[in-house]
Amino acid sequence: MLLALAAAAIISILVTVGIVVVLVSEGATFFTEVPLTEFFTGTEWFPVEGKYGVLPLLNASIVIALIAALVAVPLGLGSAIYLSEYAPERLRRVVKPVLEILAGMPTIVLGFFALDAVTPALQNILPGLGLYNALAAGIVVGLLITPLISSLSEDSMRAVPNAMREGAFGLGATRRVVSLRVVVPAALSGIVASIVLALSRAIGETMAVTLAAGTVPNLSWNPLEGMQTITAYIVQVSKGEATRGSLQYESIFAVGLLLFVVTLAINIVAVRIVRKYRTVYQ
Amino acid sequence: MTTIETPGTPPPPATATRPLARKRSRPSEQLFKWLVMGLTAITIAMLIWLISSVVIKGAGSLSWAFLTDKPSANPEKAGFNSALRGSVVLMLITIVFAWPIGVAAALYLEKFATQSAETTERKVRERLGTGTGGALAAWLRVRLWWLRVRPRVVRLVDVNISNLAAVPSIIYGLLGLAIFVGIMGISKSLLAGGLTLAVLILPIIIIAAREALRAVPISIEQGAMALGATRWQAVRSQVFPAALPGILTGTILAMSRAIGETAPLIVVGGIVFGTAVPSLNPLDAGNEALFAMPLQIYFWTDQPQASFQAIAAAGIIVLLATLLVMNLVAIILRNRYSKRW
Amino acid sequence: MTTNVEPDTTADDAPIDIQLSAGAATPTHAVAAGQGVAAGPAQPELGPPIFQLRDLGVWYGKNEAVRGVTMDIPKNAITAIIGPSGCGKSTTLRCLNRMNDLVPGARVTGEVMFGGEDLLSSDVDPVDLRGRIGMVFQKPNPFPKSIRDNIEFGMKVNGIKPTAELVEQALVDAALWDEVKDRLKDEAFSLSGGQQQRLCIARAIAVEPEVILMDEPCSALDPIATLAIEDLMRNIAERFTLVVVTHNMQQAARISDQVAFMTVDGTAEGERCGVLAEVGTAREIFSAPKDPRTEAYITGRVG
Repeated sequence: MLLALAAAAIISILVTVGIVVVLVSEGATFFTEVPLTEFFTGTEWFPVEGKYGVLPLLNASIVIALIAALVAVPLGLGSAIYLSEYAPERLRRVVKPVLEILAGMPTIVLGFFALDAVTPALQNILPGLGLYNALAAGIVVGLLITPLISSLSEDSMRAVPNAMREGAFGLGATRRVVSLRVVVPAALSGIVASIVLALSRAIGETMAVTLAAGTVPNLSWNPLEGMQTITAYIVQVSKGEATRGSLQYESIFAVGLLLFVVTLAINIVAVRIVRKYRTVYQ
Repeated sequence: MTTIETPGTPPPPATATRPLARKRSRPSEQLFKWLVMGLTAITIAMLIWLISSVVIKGAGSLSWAFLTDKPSANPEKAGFNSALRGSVVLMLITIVFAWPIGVAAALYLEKFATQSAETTERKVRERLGTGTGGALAAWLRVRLWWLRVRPRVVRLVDVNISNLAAVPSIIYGLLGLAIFVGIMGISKSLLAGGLTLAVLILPIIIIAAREALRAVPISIEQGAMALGATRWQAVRSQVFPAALPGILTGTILAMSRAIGETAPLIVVGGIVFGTAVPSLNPLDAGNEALFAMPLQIYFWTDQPQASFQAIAAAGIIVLLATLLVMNLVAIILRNRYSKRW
Repeated sequence: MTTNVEPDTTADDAPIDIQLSAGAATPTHAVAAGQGVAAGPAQPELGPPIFQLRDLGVWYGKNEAVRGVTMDIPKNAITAIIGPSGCGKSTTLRCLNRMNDLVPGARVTGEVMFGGEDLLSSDVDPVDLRGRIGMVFQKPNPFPKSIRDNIEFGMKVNGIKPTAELVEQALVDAALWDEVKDRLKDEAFSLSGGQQQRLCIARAIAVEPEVILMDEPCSALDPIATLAIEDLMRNIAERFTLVVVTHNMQQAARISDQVAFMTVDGTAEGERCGVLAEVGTAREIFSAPKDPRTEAYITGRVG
């Protein structure tokens, strides 16, 4: 019986092994045809013509993740500080679950929202904004990851012992000073880790960016333009009729491998940050 | 020099260095408070904007016909029925595969993998020492090796599970495509989709089940063992039933994640343009095209015509309503059955 | 009048084994004979009061925690508040710098006159007040910053320019300078418990308050650290008024000039509520208490 249970636990390792093996083996097949240098330094991703420079895809994923961070960090940190330091307990009990709703929102809904409401609204402010643009995608992904930052940061802040706040209040500090100069610095490792994790989530996001930012690769930093991310490319090929074993089929595993490595690296960094800089309260 | 006061006359109060400062408005305090309040309000406002714009767009297209019609190239006639059936079958397959494995793994990791190895090791060594030979001795040596290596394996599994929970969901689609469709030869069907989703939520179920098991006080388990039960008996008859509500709550939440997933299903199943109506019999899942609520919504959203946008919104309303019901059930379950230890 | 009074042995029980040091009688007052009432103001031999509490009460929601506290606290002296646990000593102390404002649902009634003005009044700025009335807590609570940053924090908050000299002076006053002068950049948490508490006192001193409130400052420390802090308290009492809550009677007897004894009284609903039983000079309280509850506590029959 114990053997069965142990086997179940081992299955989780098998999953990881499976992911790595699949990505690496199919990716390796890809890289026999497309040299690594062209992959990593080529600036054109145009599979129809055999051009496989991944920079436009990687760039799009990063640009949208950064826009998302620009949206999510103020919203998430602001909410965290408000809920942890200012809000009365009753209000907090209502607001927290509401924020969790945002966290559980299927990303297809966010993609629809971007196309249907956000882009038209932005077009009122910024005429000349195309239907597909990175800005709307970034905003909507930012909304998605805000609860991640808010919830984890708030947990870190509430873990700061109240005695520390009292010490600061007792010296004549105002609530703003206590929040910004005592609580936030003490909770910093958790806050930074939450931002890093949110970035990783943003880079891996698919449906919202596919619908909002479009399917045309574009190596550009202009958020008003459309651009295709790694994940959007995988979706595009999957929708199509690429035959198994073709270069196009292999290419989704190659970019998938890149995505996996990048998100894994970011997650490891987040764990390291927490472990190294965590304040131990005595 | 002492002053002798007349008894009963209190001395005048000492003066402080300066009078008490009166409340003054501190603009930076007010500004900051309004800032953090405002940022919270903006987040909630965006959520309200999201939900209301979807409801406004889609409420008009909601009807019983919408729920029972099959898809069609004509937006007036297209319905959500196939998607609903597909999602139901997907959830059945997902839960059948993910739940037992996930709960079993959680039980092992939480309750059995950290048992003290010393007594077992001692007993095994004793048996080895009494001159057992051949296959039995080899088996005993394997057991010894496993006992020594187990803590490191458990730690590896822990790290592994939390990494898996953070892997982008589309990667699971690639895994499903290569293994279930490619190697195992399952067609791009509901079965392939269900298996892929099962793998996706497996880490989530393991984490949730472990939390639920951890919340059961150790005294329950130790009490049973003090009465002579083995650890396995104690866990099976006392700890597991006590943790079950928590495990179910976590499972429902994991399922609500699975039901909204689109990307892995696109990779594994492609986008279905057909007008088939999948059977609700899960055993047929290997032959049925991959329909699902989020997939249908995506397909309609991708169409240029405005009338398709409207039914996409209607589909979203149905999806969100389903999620709402699932989450409410989870909350009720948790509130009704969570005991105060 | 003499400045030394023999312990009164009129009690039936064994003589109270409390060491009253000669240093308890400071030059600012002389011991008068039989002065004062059971609970009330006016201890003229201790000098003019800086605090005058009048019918102070504290409610937490529907629970009355403290009722009817009326007493004076003399300037530049050490006042100890003693009593059994749960009798509202800390709650009363925290009224003096309006720390109870920070507790949701807390309501304070009555008056606390500080230099003649009621500091409980709603138009008083509590933030500014706390810069003038400092506080040291039961468990040392330094910030997770360097030793120097801990000291400088309060100074910056109160608009005092944080120079190296002022930092050094605060640490000297708190009898910590010699131990940390070479490692001001070290984490405050790397200090021992007693050192951390002295750091918290230095932090409070650096703000140049007029009063320092201490809520059982030694209860988390070992006896040696405790004695070091008691010495410190006696030294700084010249400059500041100290109000110390303590559950250690011997400590109160060692260091204080005035002692207030609080105890628990039942309310109409059967809840426990803190009241002031008696206040007087240290000598009076420990050798000739007037209230039977005080005597019961002092002699160890209760609490």
